Parts: sequence; C-alpha cells; structure tokens
Amino acid sequence: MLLRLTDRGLWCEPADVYIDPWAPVARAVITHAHADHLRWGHGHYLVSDSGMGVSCQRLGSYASRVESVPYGRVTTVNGVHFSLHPAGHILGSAQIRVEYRGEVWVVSGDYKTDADSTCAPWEPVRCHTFITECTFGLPIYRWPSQQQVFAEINAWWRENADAGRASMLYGYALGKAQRLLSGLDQSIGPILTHGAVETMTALYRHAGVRMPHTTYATVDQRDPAWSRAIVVAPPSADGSTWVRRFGKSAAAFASGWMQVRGARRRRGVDRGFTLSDHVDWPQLQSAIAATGAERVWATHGFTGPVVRWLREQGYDADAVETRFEGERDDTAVDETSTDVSGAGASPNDTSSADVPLPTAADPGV
Amino acid sequence: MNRFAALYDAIDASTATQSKVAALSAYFSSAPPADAAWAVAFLTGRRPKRLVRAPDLRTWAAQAANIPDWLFEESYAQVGDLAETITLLVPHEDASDGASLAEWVEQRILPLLSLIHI
Repeated sequence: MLLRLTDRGLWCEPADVYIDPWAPVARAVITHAHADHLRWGHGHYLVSDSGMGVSCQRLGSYASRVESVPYGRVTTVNGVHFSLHPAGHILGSAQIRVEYRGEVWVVSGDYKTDADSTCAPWEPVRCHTFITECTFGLPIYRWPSQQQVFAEINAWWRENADAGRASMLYGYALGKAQRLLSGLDQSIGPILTHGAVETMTALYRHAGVRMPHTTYATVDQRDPAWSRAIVVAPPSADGSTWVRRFGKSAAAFASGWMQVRGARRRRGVDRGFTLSDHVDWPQLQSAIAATGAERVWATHGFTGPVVRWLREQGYDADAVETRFEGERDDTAVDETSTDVSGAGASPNDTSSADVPLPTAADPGV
Repeated sequence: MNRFAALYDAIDASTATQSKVAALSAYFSSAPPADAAWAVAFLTGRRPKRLVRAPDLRTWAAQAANIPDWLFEESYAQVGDLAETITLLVPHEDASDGASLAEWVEQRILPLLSLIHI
C-alpha cells in the first residue's frame, strides 16, 4: 500500500511523508488550513501557494516551517511524486496526488465540486485509489444552487433590515464566512464582521479574492445604522455578550446540516441556510466516477453507508478511521472562531483541535 | 397548495411567535375558504388517517429515489421524520402543478382510500 493509516495519520512509507497528520511528524503535506487537517508541531509543511496566507495565520510560530507550491507542480521525495490540485473547499484547499512506480493515489481532503468564487474549483484527478471524505454521504443531502441560497439570505436580510433588526449570520470563520460574504447584496445595508472572520477575510483579499466592503465590529462600538446591518460571525458568537451590542436581531446558521429540519431546530436559530463546503451525495458519486479509481477509501462522515453503497456499485471500498471531522454543527468549529472577543486565538491553544468530539455525522447512531 | 407550503415554510422559518402569528393571519385572511378549512385541519393535527401504509410509502420513495431499501433506512435514521425523509429523497423536478390545497386533498389524496384492499 502506497499510503497507510498509522496512529499519526495517513503515511507514505517510501517518502516518509504524512498527509494531514494529527500527531507531530517530520514532514507533512497539507490539504487545507482547517484545524482538523492543519495542526501544530510538524517539522515541515507543504501547502498550496494560495493556502499560504491562511495556513501561516493558523500556525502562528510554526509559520516559518511552511513551504508552498503552485497547484500541479511536482515535488519528489525519495522517488515519490507529490502534487497539489484544487479541491474547491476553501482558499488554498488541495487534493494530494501521490505517484510512485506508476501507481497513483489521491487524497481528497475536504472538497466540493459546485460553484464558489472564493477558491479555485475542484479538478478531477485520475488515480487508482481515491481517498474521499463523506461528511454528507447520504442521499438526503442534495444542495440547492448557491445562487438560490444567496437569494434566500439576501431576502432574509432585507426583511430584517426593513423591520429594524440586525441579521446575525453564523458560519465558520475560515471559508464559509468568506463564501457568505461573496454572495451578499451590499445595497441592503452595512456588512459587519466578527474579529475572527475579519482576520481571515483580510487574508482572502490579500490573496486576490474579491470580497465586499466589511466593517470590523469592535468591542466598544455601537451605531444606530447597525439595525440594517448583517453581521457575519462564527457560530460560537451566538448567544454571547458580543452579540448584544447589535440590539434587536434575528439569527441564521449556514451549513450543509441545515438541510434537515431537526438539525435546524436543535440549533435554535430562526433560519438555517443550506450552504456547505463539502460534496453532497450527487457530487460525491460524480467525483468518484471522474477519478476513474477502482479502490475508494472513505474517511470521515457517513463511511458505513458510503462504503456499502460503493461496494454494491462494484468498487473495492473500505472505511479508514481518521481524525478528520468534516463540517460540524457544533459551536467549537475551529479555534480561531472560539474567541468571541474577536482578537484571534493563541497559536499554542490546541484544545479544540485535540478534543475528540462526537460528530453529528456518525452513522453508528 | 403552493400557498399552504409557503405558510408552512414561514412558520418553520422563525422561532418568534409574533412572526408565526403574522404568517397565519396573512394566510387565513386571503386563502379561499375550502383551502383554509383544510389548513386548519392539518395545522391542528386532524389529518386523514391511514390512507396509505407507511411501509408502502417507504418502498415507493426508495424506488423513486433509485436507492436500495437499506439506504432509505439509513437516511430515515438521520432525518428522524418519515415525511421529511421522503421529501429529501424523491426527485425534486416534478414539483407542484398549481392545484389548490383543497384539490390536492379532495381529488388526489382522499381517493387513495379506495385503493386499499382489506
């Protein structure tokens, strides 16, 4: 096996390189900058060029160990060829292609194949073995078009603004927040951000991604114009004192989990918008087919049903137990979003990255 | 039927009682009486019972979605509500044709009773 699962992560033995390892290793290749894939403590990190900014922000003092390459460029280690290819998940996200003696493996990381102006679109990469996430690996998950979701969000915002209440829109600080921002209609009112969102949004702008004008809502500010505002904040801000300065407000959460009514009700927000950075069921099927892979390993998500389904379709499929988490509907999504003061978290705070939380996607329950 | 669905969405889309009451009030002040009567029946839980057996609904939904029964059950386990599971699984393309709520209930749903063989 060219790649093997060890207690540190997915390991390529002939190169002694790990992909998204969860324990410290000498050499790591990283799919993207979310906390369950990019962790502190490695000796060397390889990321995509466009992921450099967000990765360094997340790594803090480890940033000096990060090297970046353009998508598609091959890095050879002990005769093993590694290259990164767009995954369409967030800015800089990559699938890792690993080739050795004619055998090709691709690790998807997290990915989606539908439209998103904030990152390079997913590209199918031909391979013998495809290691895929399956966060939303059930046929109930079929995303509405991004255009339709943005229209719903803007209509909700307009209705709130006309009724004199601020619109609190919750989504992860890295990736989801910027995708939400990219779809907002600036003519409705001011766009405010939480500190964790503002930090990441600045990095998106720096990488050349078009973002609307945003105002960072600092701790001691208040403004009557905010009753028409939309506030983009990480889920952990919901119910915090930081939110109270906006006065009367309505709350919404943007996530793939919002497809199911029960998940919306448990979340306790007024509205749930179905917007995900992960593949839905139809995307998962077409992505696997596009790789031409004969063998598929399913990592995090609904691995049980996906493996059984793929076997019935004739694939050599197996589940591999990683520590990746996919899209959680839990509040502590990544450590940059748990700091409600908006100042950003300490790079040494690994608490949320290391806590094994039960995922809502656990098919065993 | 579209108006009733919109009412349901509006009630579902807010946690504020005031917004729910406003949506109900707007619906009942404009809906045709026959629709409004059925809306009251459904909203108060007095829906017609046992027109179609639930196991049949599951089988047909799985067929329409082109998935095996076990995958339907996995989906149902995640959603927790049979009607919602079916809604999420069957193809969305052939949506409503504009018939009213009363037409749906009286001309399409209630006649299913005659198909039951005891």
